[in-house]
Amino acid sequence: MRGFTRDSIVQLLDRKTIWLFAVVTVIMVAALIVVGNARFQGGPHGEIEFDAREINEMLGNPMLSVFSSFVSFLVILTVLLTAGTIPVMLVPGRAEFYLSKPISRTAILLNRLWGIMVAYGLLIVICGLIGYATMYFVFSVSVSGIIYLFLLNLISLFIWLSITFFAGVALGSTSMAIVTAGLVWFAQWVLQARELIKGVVDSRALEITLNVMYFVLPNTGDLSDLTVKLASGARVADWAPLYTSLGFAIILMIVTLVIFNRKNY
Amino acid sequence: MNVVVTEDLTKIYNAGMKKGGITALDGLSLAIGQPEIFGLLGPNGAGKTTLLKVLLGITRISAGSATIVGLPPDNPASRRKVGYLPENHRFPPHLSGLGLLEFTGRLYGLRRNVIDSRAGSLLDMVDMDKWANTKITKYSKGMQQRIGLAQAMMSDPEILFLDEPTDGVDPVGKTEIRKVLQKIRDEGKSILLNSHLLSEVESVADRVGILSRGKLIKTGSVDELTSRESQFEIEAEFGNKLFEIPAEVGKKISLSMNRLIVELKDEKQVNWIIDHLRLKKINIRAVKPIKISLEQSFIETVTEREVDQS
Repeated sequence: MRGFTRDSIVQLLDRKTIWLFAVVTVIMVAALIVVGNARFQGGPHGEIEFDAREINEMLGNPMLSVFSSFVSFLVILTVLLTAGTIPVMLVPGRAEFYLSKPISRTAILLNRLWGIMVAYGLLIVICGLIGYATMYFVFSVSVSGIIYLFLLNLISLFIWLSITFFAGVALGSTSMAIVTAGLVWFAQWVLQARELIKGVVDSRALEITLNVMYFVLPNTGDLSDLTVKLASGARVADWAPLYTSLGFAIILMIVTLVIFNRKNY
Repeated sequence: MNVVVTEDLTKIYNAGMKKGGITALDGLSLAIGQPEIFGLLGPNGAGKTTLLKVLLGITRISAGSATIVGLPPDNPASRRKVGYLPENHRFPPHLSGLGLLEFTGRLYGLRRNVIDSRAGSLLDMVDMDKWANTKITKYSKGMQQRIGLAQAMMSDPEILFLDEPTDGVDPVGKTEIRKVLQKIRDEGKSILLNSHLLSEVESVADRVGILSRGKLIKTGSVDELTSRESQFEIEAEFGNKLFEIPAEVGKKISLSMNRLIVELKDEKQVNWIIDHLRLKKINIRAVKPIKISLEQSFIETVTEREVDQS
């Protein structure tokens, strides 16, 4: 990988990012322990006592969703922390360092993407496993499809990185990369509620637009629901959020590579 | 063998709404041999850095062609035997000096043992071994230039592209860098040197090219560029003897007891002067072409060009 994976790890350690992940994980672990040891009272006169483990079982394992949100949060944290990777790499004076080496621009970008995926992906998996181990010991929750949870979150990381890489190459600014990711997140959040919108606004054009947009833009919200279903071993009826989001990311990476290969630095 | 060849190389930058764009390189043809130190001179905005970037594939060619060690710049393999020290470089700030050399070695696809041995010897050569594990951001400008030169040499390149290599380096450091450049040339390699410091170019370059508004307006050896055409200084024992020169030979610029300065119609006419001095039994001590500094030659060339264009 021409040193990009190692460089991403060195960069991660240098920026002390690892401590941020450690703090988030410690907060998660502490919250799980506190909630796990709490006693809850129920019944008309509070005569029935439950512990958190029993409530979790009664409510159909909501802890899995909490845990999935924790891993998704780590993904978002990674996206925010790495949004500046490409703009910072391509500032005048530094771009020349990378581009003057006997390695194609396509390889530079893909190796950098792979480096981030490995360095931060590993960090997400380690922090996630610590959270999972805590959840297992406190709530006795074992997730049969835990591997799917990590795998789909890593796919989600790739989708978000394709957006920040595109903005980084096309716009050359860290803040614009974050704003672009934010806009896509907002759009997919709106599109998740497309059925509700269609019910309120009676417009054929709007309906078509929303449907097209839904299949064009990544649907990481729906992908998150799909992740929980897969992890809990439930049947997944609709794989479209995974295919369309992954397709979006691959096409966006190709567009990014085309722009990067044509640009003057 | 020529390591760098360009033919009618043209680079036009898109100027947004402006029609036609900005011409940074205008039909530039150049060949750099091996071994050779080629100094590239030119006022700000002449296109010196653009030429290096085009040759390295950092900036795309608009028209014409270029090859480095026989390969076009858009082929990454053309950069395998090229080292580059950019002007105003900003190396990855999270790396130490040693880390930068190791990363550079990996980008060149070198083996671990080659990286280790080469990094060690280069750190020693640029006198940075004591600071090898210090982060680059803590280095002074001179130290950054030295580590930059070391990273440019990591691949044991056939040709080095150096853009203002002594920028910010103290006089002792400059002398050291000059020695390194000469050593590289003695090893049979080539250097394309961009520098504003004309005295520096004059002291190391074998050939010099003057670039103005994207055009290569003059090339030649330092001797050729610094010689006043047909002007000679003759040291001889004139005493009070008169010495006249016919108009068809040239003209006398000045004459003192032991020094004559002449401007000849043709360089070969210097033989006429020598013959007639001997006829007059005037002892000749030396005959030498009058030289000007490279700086003076550069200013005259660029000024003439500006006048011609206006």
